[in-house]
Amino acid sequence: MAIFIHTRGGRVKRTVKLWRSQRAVLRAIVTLIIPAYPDLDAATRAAVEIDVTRYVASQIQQMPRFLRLPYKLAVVSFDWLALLRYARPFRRLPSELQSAYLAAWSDAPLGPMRDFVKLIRSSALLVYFDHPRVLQRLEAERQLPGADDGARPHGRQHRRVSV
Amino acid sequence: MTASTPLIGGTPLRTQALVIGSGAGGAITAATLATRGYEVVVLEEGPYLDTSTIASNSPDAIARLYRNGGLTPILGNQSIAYVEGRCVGGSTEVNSAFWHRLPPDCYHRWSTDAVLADFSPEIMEPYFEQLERDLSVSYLNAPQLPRSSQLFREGIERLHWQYTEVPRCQKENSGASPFAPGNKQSMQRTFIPKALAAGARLLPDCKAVKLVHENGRVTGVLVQQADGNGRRRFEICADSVFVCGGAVQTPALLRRSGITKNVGDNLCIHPMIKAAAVFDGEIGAHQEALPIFQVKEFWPNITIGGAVFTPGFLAMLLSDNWKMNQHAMRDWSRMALYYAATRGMNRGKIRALRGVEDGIIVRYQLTEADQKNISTGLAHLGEILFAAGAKAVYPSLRSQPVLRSAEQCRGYLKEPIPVAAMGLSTVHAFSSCPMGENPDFCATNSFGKVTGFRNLYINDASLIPDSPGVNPQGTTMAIALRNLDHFDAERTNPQRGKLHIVTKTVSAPSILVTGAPGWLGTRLVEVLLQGLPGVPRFETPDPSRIIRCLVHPVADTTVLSELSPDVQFAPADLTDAAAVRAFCSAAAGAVLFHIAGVVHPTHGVQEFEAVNVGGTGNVLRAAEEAGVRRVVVVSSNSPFGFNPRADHRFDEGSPYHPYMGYGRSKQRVEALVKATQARGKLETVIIRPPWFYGPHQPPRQTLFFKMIKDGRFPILGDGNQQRSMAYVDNICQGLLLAATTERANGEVYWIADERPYTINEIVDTVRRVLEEEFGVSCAARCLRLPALAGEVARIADGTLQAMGLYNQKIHVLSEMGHTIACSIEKAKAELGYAPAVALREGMLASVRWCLANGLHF
Repeated sequence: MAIFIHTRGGRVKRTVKLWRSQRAVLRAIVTLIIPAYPDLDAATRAAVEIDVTRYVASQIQQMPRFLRLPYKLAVVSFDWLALLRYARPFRRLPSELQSAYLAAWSDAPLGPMRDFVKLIRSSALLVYFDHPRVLQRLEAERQLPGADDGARPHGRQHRRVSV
Repeated sequence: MTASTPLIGGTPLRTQALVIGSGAGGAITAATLATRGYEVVVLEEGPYLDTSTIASNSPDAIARLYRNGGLTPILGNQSIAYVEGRCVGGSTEVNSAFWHRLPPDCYHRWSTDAVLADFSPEIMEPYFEQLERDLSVSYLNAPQLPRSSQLFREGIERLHWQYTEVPRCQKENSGASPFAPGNKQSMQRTFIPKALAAGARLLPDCKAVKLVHENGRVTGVLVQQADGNGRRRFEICADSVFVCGGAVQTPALLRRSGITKNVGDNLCIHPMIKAAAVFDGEIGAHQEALPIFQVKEFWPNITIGGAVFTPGFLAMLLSDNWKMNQHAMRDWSRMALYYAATRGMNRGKIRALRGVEDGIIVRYQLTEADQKNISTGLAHLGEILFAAGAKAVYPSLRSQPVLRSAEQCRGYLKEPIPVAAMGLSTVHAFSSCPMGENPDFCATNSFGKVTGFRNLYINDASLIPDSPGVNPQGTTMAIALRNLDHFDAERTNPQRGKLHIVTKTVSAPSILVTGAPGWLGTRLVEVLLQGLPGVPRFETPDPSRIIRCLVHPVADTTVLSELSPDVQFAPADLTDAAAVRAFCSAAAGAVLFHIAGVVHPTHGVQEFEAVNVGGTGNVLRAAEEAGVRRVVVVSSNSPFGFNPRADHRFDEGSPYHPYMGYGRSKQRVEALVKATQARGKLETVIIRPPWFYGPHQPPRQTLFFKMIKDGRFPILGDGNQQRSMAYVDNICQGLLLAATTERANGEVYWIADERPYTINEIVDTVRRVLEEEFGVSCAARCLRLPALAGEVARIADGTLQAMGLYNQKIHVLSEMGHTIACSIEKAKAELGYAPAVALREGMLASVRWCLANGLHF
């Protein structure tokens, strides 16, 4: 997997060094996390999911090295610990079991397990709702309440106080 | 506006001022120093991206402009997300550009607690005023208020709480949003271009890995350059190093470098909790200018205000309770984000993990007081929002209910929120290397100079002694300007800081010497103090002489100190104009011997230009300004190349034909001297000595003896090419004559031994001295090479120097096949010069000195 960074010197390819299995795990988690809202057609949703997964992967790659390695190990652990419960790794589970397994980690009594999901979820939701195609859809659905602009006062009457 | 071109791999740099970091502290440091004439290099770990082309607060911006993609945790009893920029311009490219002056109570507190000297509102106000002009600090000038701010203000006014509009660094613009791309006056829009225009060199993607230091002086900075094409390491040497990496990176760099006293032990932050409020009507917060009001009712411990809004930020806030609260996203256009920031009550720590790249641990333990302040802040924020008509408030709390009323919010006043439930972040970190004179607390003096160091400074938010309770950018920049004024004053007025003239007596000098710890310089000082044997006119020293030596700050002055306790030392680099001025201060009527120069550079051929030419320019200007009577400048044979025939001799009328970079630099040195002479304010004499030999010789000359002893000294061709050589005492005689002979003013003289010697004669003399006088067994033969080898070396030398590189052995070999000989007739006729020492006697003294000083062959 690679992300493309645009710099002054032109487009630079930066390799995100995640194993294929790790990328599959991230993609599966992202698919579970991102909500049905707003409505997107299947092709758009699939494209957005790919972008979101790339972003999450790049976020992991940007971590300081001493955090990055444990986090990558956590991705592997997350995948294979599912064996204990379902006799299959996470990425081979049907979506309803994946969802239950993810929820178990989200609410786990151990902080590191919760934090693992929290980081992916917060990053995925951030980039999902600020994705240009999602924003476009949100804007389209936005219902402006008619006379709102006229209700806004003009000018300022507040007091300024020194700090 | 462009960054500097990439470095050639492995080529080290040398500069007067190295600024590490290009954020608020670094940019203003670079711009100020560059506009004051300092040679400045700025290192920035992050990339150089034009931030006006990147949508602010977008995921793209977070990934590209934020450190660790915005994922820097502060560890403790609850993780706190710390956000800072990592790009050219630093955090000023990603923050909201709020501007605050330092609150008045801080002046007294810092002066008392940190024993901070010269720090008062009267001193600081001019700096704030200057910065406010430079950064166009102003209030929002938009046709109407942002809806989120308008609602927020309504809520505050209903509660009759004190609030203020916060000015920002923003360019007045008639456009819809004053925060349109490019309007925010970040460092990329202001001080970075100012620094570049003044000649500063900016190196993005370059991380300072370690400071190399010895004896209280940073001698180099190891830098790792990383871009899309890989990584490379190089070193930068600087006269002064300013670390401006911010409150986390600055102490981390210092600690990685072994500098730990009060470094990284006193981190202060402003822990912040956010909340999203949903209102009845459309707000459109994602399209509005940034919120502008702050509640000051509970200041300094609590500040409440509006936060940046995007649907993504809203979703991220809701993600702590996503299953429960995700439905709220459908109301996103009726929602806005707000925060309650608190003044952290504890002190955190920053530690660098040994051997781990990017291994920085930031720790901050939330105290009960923090917990109470955060809970109180959220309670009051909720009260404001409900007073403003909010229907619900979603706090950044894990497993806590949605707030539906002001009464529910006030519950946090009675029962604080569990720390484990808090979702906290901070954008303000400071105080990790506090400044002041309190030795138990401060890492630097009152002006940012690191304790125990002569040329290491901090100039960023790390210096702030404790939390000011407001955005620290304004304070950081104003303090940086103040510290730079002090830095400059120290260098131009040495008595103020007593940094540059470390004297055992403050009497006005009659003799100034540059390059004194060197070969010729040391012998000259010795001669001035003890007399010149064999030359009646100078055999008896003048006891009234007061000698001041300009010595490189890392040079060993032991030998000079042992010569006389009355020798004054001015530690300075020739390329540092201010320091050279300090060296020449109070020296009206003195004679200056300018001997210092680079013959064999260790950091690339650019040293020839910087030290020989630039340094001589500094010396001549400083001497003129100080009223020095005469300057005697040591040049070389290199501006004249090789003699066309073996019997040819260079004289004072020979045309220039410089050999390689060194020769060209010395030609320019002579031009500078002649131009100075033409101005008529200073008497000048140029002395051209060829190959030196004699006591106090450097290791390369010892190697010369060893190669002859081992039979490895290369003789090119038949060895009958001739070389003029100059025993150091002969040169000293020439220098003293040049200084004391009236008619020498404006003249040039070749100074050498009585006659040139063939290479065979030189080698044979050394061999015989070693064997006959010292019983050292020498190989009977030398390494005989064809003359072509010299030509090959010359081509290689030229190629290397064209690439900016230098190899001493290749350079020396390239000259060995040619005659370089001069006539001393003019010196004999006009100065009365009479070389008293010839080759054998000189080599004997030289070898004796080597053996006496433990240098064996």
